[in-house]
Amino acid sequence: MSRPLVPTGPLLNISRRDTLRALGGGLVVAFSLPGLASALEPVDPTVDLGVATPDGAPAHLNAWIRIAPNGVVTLRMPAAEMGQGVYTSLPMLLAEALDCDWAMVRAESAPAHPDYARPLGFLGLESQLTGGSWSVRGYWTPLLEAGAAARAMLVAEAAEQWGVDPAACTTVAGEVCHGDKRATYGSLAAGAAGRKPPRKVSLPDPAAYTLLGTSPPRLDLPPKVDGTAVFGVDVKVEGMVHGTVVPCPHYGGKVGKVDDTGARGMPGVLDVLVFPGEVVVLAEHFWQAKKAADAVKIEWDPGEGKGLDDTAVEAALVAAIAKGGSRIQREGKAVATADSTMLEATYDAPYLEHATMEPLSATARVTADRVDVWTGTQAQQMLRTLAARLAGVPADQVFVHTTLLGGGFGRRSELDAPRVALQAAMAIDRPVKLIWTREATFARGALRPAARCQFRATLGGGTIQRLEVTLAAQNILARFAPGFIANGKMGAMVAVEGLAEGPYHFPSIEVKYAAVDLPITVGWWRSVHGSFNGFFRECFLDECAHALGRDPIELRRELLRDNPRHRAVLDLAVDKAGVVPAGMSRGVALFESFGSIVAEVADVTVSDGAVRVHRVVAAVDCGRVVHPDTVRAQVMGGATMGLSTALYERITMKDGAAQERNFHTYPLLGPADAPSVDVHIVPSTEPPGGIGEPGLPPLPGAVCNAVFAATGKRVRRLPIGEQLV
Amino acid sequence: MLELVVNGTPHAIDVAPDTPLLWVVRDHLGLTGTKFACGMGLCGACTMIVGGSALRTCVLPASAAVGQAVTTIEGLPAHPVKDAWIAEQVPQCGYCQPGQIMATVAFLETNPNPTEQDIREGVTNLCRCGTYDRIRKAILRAAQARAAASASKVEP
Ligand code: FES
Ligand code: FES
Repeated sequence: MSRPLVPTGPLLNISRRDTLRALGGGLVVAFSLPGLASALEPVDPTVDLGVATPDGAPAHLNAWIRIAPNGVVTLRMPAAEMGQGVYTSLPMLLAEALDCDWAMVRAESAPAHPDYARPLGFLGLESQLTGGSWSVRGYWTPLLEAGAAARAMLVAEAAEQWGVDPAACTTVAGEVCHGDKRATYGSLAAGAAGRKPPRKVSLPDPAAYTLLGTSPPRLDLPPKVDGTAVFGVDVKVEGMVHGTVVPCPHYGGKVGKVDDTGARGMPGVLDVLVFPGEVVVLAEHFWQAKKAADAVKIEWDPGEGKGLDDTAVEAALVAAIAKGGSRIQREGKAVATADSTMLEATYDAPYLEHATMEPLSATARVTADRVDVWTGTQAQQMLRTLAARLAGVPADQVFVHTTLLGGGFGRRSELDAPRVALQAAMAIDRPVKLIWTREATFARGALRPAARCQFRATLGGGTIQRLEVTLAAQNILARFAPGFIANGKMGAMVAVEGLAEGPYHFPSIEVKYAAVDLPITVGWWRSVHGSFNGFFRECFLDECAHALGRDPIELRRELLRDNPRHRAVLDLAVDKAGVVPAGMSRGVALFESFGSIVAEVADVTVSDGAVRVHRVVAAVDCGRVVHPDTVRAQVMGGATMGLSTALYERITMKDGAAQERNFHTYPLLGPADAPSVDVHIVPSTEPPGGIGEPGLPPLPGAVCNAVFAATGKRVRRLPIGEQLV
Repeated sequence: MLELVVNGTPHAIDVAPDTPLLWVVRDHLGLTGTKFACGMGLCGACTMIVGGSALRTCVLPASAAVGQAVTTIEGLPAHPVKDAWIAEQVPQCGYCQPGQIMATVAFLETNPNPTEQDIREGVTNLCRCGTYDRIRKAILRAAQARAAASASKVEP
């Protein structure tokens, strides 16, 4: 049974921390961190990972850290674990600064609470949100500080007990030491928790990190291997009913006439709820609800979606480019020489579905004074706000229980699944668990936008003298930020990510963004615009190299002359890839996103129009690395997902409805086609970059460039599909 | 009443016999380690071992499992495949992995010494996180561990 969320100390205000260089190389920070003085009671953490078991009552050092008498340290995870490894990398940050024994660490999901917010990285806002490859970057300083503050409190407690100067004490793996005196954190925790948090702490010296930069086994893998891991679909709540959702598949449409007479009489069926955008069928068991849902006769009103098909989408993109768009970047003057020629090409990318392996799911329980939601969400804080609004209770009576996510990729930053569960629970006054079918999940996609990109290059003097780029796509930010932000430079900068102000030096460049207004819901999809901008730019660059008669790698190296980090990444990937294996063709691409630079080399064969990627060699510079094995896993995963988009993935529209509803019409890359992916990390002491997304953008370009090397055919429209047959 | 033996335990379950085995095991027996992802037999997330074969149970009527031993991820004892999955740090989101593991356990029973190509053709479950490269390494590792274990058994 969970206890209420009670802050037992005053919450400190968020303020700018002033940072001072300390003696001895460590960093001393003066701060007021939210959550440092608070000790929120646990709220049924849905995820609780680790091998050591706490005994007795733990002491709360701050909102992040509890220490049990036997020394087991439980760390609360503000972000969502969706495969990217944050339930290992974030604990490592805390444990490094706390200086505890890694074997004694547990990680559990934090509740949704402002204590756990982090800067969003843009807009100047803070939120408890998992996205933008931002968890390690956003929580880096707060977690090091929280760990260091707790350590200082433990040291102060020991020093007082011993009557010695705290500055003369040291810590080692969960113990405070002074001369021959030693005390375990477990024995000090209760006393330390009663102390005031320090106003200044010293952060560990990066040169002396013992945990950061190593790859301990991930904390979340044992339950993922023995089947005990709890995802949204696995939640069990006393007294819950099961249900499924039939969403209106037409973007901009709604539910029309509903005939549920047949469904209501079916075994186990409890209710059929009709909402404006979806029908919910509730039953004693999921399968009964699913069968009854199939028996409900629903007429959809396609609304704004009427007549919106692929031709209409393409026409909208073409028209937007023709109108010209708004200028994002203009530098240098066109300097044509006598030998200058123009090269023009237009590229296209389709709508994409996230296709997380776990379909949408959420469980909700609403009582007069308390709301609980269990779901795998990337947007805990927004969910808390939504639930409070729907149920009409203050936010502190809302309890968000974040489960593990069976893939997120941005899809679970949408609130539709928990919203419907909350509404259903309120409608029937019982806890409700909803699992969406794969078809329903596809029907309500928050899609990667379709996009079109027009390039015009002036080539001469053996190089690219001027580059003009116009990108047309729907504006994702429009759904999340006020119009003046979304439609201003911010919205445009998000869209043209990687195309403007990129690492390549062009004497003259002009980049424009042409916003497209369509009623199709577009959302954050792994690597967002990088997922097509990487393809567009890296393939057109290859076209330029070919037209100039230059080696594409050499041309890139020349254009990267001002950016040694990028050049080093490219060189490492090319070097590690070695000579092109006999019979294969090679393509290369490079893309920076989310603060990390990735180059990928793809070795392919093409036979009878079928592309087979045999091997991908990647190099990544993501700044300082927390957990190298996770970096390798994420770049491998991103590249593999990128290959899936390059070869197969495409959502098509009819009357504003996605036509693909399961994996037979929306095939995902399977094991038969999956290449080996070797990932090499550039050692770096630069600030950390993100790693969940940056592995994806270079891959489609690398593959299509390899296809050109193999066949002389330029792929300018994804997916490759049957184009080469 | 449907009589099923799941992970060695007999159960009598009051459920429509055409209910897919997946949902009987998840909702009626409360064993949620086996996952639902597509419901059409396309991905393998719902793989259990039924009568010795890896089957996609989202499209398998529970009645078809009557009289056969059903093993789910929860019923898999300490096993070289699970060890290999940890050693290679395979899972990311982890959602497909119970199915991957069950498919691999059955695959190695029929092909204890697979080549990489055998693995590509023999374990066909989907993984959206893109863990295939590590899955292949883990399968090879598990095969070696099984071989080493049976070799040490025959030697005195
Ligand atoms: S859920 Fe059964 S094969 Fe996909
Ligand atoms: S690990 Fe996420 S789907 Fe396979």
